[in-house]
Amino acid sequence: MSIEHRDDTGARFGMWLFLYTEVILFSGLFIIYAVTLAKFPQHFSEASNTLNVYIGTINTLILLTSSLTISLAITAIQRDKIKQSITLCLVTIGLAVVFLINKYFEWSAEINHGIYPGSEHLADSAPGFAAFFNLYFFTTGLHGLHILIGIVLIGVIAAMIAKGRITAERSTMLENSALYWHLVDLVWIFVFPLYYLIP
Amino acid sequence: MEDKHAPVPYRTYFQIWAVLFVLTLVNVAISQIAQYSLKVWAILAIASIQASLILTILMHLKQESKLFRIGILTLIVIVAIFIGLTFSDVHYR
Repeated sequence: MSIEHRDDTGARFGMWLFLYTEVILFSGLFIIYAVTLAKFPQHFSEASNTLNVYIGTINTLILLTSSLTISLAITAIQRDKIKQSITLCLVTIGLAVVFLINKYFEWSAEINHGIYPGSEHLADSAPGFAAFFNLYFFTTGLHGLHILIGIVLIGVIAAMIAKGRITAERSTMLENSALYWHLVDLVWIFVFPLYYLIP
Repeated sequence: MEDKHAPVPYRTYFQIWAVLFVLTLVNVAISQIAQYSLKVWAILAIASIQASLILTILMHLKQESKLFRIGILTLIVIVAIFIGLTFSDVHYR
């Protein structure tokens, strides 16, 4: 038997340090948003009204539910319920995929209306209107990329649980992946009201 | 320092989820009925409550040591300075 060197608290804090940089990354976008909103409140309002609040709300609720399932997966593994934990990871992935499918339909509708970064329609519209959609596509695109990374990550974690590499005794990998997933949810908790509700 | 957390009961997670769910719907309702100036701050306040619930319960900050809390506090201060300086720059341009 080999001696194992582990520092679970250190591993978690390392994950938090990474998450701090993620928050700074998205804060930059939120600040640009806030400054532009203060400059063009009317244009932002017109642009925001073209977004579908229902799809936005449903996607928010889907993401909140996926945060619930990944949290439950941690408790499950800590209680040695391996199968349940894997199922909960897979449900989380399923919800994330549904989120992305909704996002795909949303983006398609906008692109079909000629609204996408660099489009002629945006070039001809009011500066605030164009700024709103450029920020919208960049922010939701970056967030969507995070969702995609999360899907891959949680998929790997589910496989590791199945192979017995993550257990009740050593669950830090799952806990850190859940931290990442909650951060993606946390970012959306602000993206949703900023783009769909406030303007 | 405690290296391992005690498992959080399923029920706690379900309760937090229910609160987050309802607060999201409250935010949507506010956006449909409230006046603009009131709406902005009310919605951001509720989103912040949701964020703090996610941080403390779902992300287990409640069970972590002081170091984690100092970290997040530092982050919030840095972001606040970031926002404050940007707005004062834009305002006095």
